[in-house]
Amino acid sequence: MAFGTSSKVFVATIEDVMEQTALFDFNTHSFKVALYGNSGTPSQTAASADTAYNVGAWITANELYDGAEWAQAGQVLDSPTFVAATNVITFDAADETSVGTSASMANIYGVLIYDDTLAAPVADQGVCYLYTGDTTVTNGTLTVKFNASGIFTITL
Amino acid sequence: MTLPLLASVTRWYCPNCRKQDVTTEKGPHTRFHACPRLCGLMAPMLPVGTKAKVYAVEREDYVGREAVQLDPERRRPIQTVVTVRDDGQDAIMFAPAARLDVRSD
Repeated sequence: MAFGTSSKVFVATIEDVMEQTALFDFNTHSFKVALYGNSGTPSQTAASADTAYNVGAWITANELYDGAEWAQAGQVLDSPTFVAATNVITFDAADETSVGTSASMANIYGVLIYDDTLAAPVADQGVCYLYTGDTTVTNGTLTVKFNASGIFTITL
Repeated sequence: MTLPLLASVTRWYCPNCRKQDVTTEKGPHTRFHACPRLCGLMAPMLPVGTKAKVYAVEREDYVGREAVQLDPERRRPIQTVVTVRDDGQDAIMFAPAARLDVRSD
C-alpha cells in the first residue's frame, strides 16, 4: 500500500455536486487539510463514502498529527477562495502552517482536503488529495504551501 | 506610572546567501526570501545565532501532468525546502494542484 504520486480531485465529489447529492459550498463551508503517511492507497474513483475523512484510505490509522501543533483531523483552511476566470475554476486557500514550533511528524506523503461542514449524506466528504513526497519535521514547523495554480482547478 | 512600549526586534539571516533582515512583528513568525543560492525559491531565514542548513529537495517521482512547484531558475520540480537545526527540522511542503481538465480540444 502506498500513497502513490498523483494529486487528484475525487470523481464522486464532482458527480455529487452536479447531481445535488451533496451540497458542497466552496464559498461558505469550512474545509480542512489533513496529513497522511504512506500506508493508505488513495483512489480518484473511490465511492463518495470512501473519500471522507476517517474512512477508506483516510482512516485515522493512516493519518499523521501532533497534538496541538497539528491537530488530528487536520487544520482549517484559512482564507479559502473559489473563483471562475475565463474557462478555469480555481479553489485555493492560504498556506497552512503548524501551530507551534515543536511539531514532530515523520514521513508525510500527502494531504486530504475535505469539507468539514458537510454532514450528510456523507460527513466530512473529501474533495481532493495532493501528493507531497516524503517529508519529515522534528521539533519544528511544518508549512503546507499550496501551488500557485491553487488547491484544485477545473478547466472547461 | 508610565510603561515603555518595547519593540520586538528579530534579526534574521540566510545561511546560504547571507542576506540579512530585521522584523518587528510580535509573536512567532518566519521570514522568507527568494534565495539566489536556492535558484530563487522562497526559503526561510533564520534568527541570527541559529546554526542550520537550508536546502531544497527535488521531486524524484514522475511529474506527468502534475502542477508542481518548479525552481524559478532551472525549472526543476521541488517537493520540499528543509531546514535542519541542531535541535530539530522544519519543512515547507510544496503541494501540487489537483487538476481536472474536461476540455475536448
